[in-house]
Amino acid sequence: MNEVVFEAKNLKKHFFLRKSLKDTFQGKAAPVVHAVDDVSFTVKKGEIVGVVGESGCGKTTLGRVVLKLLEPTDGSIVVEGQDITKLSPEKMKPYRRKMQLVFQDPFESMNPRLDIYSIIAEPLRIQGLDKNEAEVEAKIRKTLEEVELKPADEYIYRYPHELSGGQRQRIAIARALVLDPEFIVADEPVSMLDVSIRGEVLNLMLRLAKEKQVSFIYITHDLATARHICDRIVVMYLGEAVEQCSADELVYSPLHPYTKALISAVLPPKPQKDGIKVILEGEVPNAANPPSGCRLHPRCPIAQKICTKESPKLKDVGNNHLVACHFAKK
Amino acid sequence: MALLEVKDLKMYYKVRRGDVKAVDGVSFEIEKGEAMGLAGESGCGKSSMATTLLRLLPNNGRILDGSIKFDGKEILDLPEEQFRQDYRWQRMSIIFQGAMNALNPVHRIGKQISEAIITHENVSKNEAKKRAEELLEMVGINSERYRNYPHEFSGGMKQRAVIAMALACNPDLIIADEPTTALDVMVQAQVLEAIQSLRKKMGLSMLLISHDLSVIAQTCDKVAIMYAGRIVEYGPSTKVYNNPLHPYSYGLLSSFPDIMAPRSPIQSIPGSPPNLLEPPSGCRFSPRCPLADSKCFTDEPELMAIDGKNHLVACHKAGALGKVGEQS
Repeated sequence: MNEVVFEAKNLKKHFFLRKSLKDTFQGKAAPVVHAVDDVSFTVKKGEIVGVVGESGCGKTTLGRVVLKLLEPTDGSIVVEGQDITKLSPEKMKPYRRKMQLVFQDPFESMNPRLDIYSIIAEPLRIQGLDKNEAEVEAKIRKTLEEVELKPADEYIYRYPHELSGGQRQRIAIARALVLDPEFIVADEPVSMLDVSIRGEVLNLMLRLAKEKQVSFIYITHDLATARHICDRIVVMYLGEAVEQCSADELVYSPLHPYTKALISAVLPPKPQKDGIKVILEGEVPNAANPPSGCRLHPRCPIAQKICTKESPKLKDVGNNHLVACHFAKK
Repeated sequence: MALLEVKDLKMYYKVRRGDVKAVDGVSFEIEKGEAMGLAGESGCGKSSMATTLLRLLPNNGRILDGSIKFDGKEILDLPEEQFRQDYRWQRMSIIFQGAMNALNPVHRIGKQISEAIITHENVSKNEAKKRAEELLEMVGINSERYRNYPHEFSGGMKQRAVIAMALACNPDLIIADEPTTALDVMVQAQVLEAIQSLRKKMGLSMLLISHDLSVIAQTCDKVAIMYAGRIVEYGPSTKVYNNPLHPYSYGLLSSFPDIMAPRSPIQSIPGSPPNLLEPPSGCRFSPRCPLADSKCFTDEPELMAIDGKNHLVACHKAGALGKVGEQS
């Protein structure tokens, strides 16, 4: 359980926007969107790591950079001890097997003209593992059973439109799983599904992590589900990781003001007397022009002078609980 | 007397393959100043309920049966023109689902709000503008932004502008159709808080339509759970949430994890909602229900009072729910 399968070190991804005419005349530099700024985390074997944040905080970009679908601007990606940041596409191919992706929308992420067999076989063909068709079929059947689409016969020759959203998302997981990857990045895998079937998909991820020792990076805006399936959670705000620790610790003793606000904004599922609490006013600022110092300071209830100038470093406050705030104390 | 009284309402969409029974015999009441939540999964007919109430149905949507009484007066048989003049927006208005799409991108925000006022009331342009500015302030937007275009607003502000628009003619009832679904959690809390305080200030009644039971839990006095075009459970929020009697309500409620609860697997309901072209016979939830027996597959249960007068459930097995809890 302690073997590290993936490590992101000081990952950065900046998008350079086009200069406006006005900026050109004024001699200003082109605006840069700091989508991911100095994010580090590790994923151990069989662990589910949650990346949580509001829209525009860079969590999806982080997911893509982690898989090298986007080249990082800076920092390094280490898979099973090997730095893959600078590898050429050909040399990447064996590593692609180890890292897979499940998309948000199960309705758009599958070719409607392919049957389930072809959809799940495609990664095997790309990796050149389709020498023996009988083996391919056996592998597909086994994978379908692993994602609890049993009996496999009932699904294998059907088309995506014949399946419900939850079943399609299982197919998406099966497609990622068929290569026996070390870890899977799941980008909002349940946000398009109905509430009553989200649990099925999330519990499937949990089971695969425990039984098959596949690690997951679960990218979501929903802290409540992350809390129940993740081992560790990384909270992001405007491209930066502001806090990371075990799921229990995050929920029961959050240290960063943003995490606290995020937790309090999750509405309790039963009626409460005190109603809705709003801790942070306003909305997430533009990532092309983030505030100076600590990026939360214009909205932060405990901000002091230092917060406007100095960006707080992510520091360990004990028990592997990392937080980036000048005033966070255990 | 209730402000809104809906009885046995049926609204079907005619499609080539038959009728989609989106609203199939729905009854509920909303008192003055009360907030009711209508909860259910996608495709259960909850948004159709909203468009039926305001007569905003597409051409193939037909109201077959039932009655809608507003303030004691039957409004279902009113001529369209009279309904438009006296009821839509004047007495009841709607906050649409995606604020991003409810605003016209090429018109200024303030203009769009005052347009609603001018259309429905006999006021001058200046007066309408003044009212629109007040409305913007009321929902927490600086009135100087009257001349902004929608793209200059953030998501939360657009949703607030849509709320201001719904309040333009001082309605008695607002229908909020998934008012916060497209918003981030933090902004969702802000918008819900704005809706709540406006409701208190203006004594508004509200019908809140949402798939998110936690949103309804924090804002509504009573709740109706809808499944496949019918209400399966109906009662005060405290009763329905703390003591759900229908297996579907129970399942749906336990699908929402509590962030503060100890780590545990997230519950789900096996199967998926039925096709409303041919809903299952008997109880519509029976194919997914862990408690269903032969009676459930043939007889459709009626909505009946079980636990006290105001808590209604449509289930043959309403008393047996404890067993589901033990199984899961």
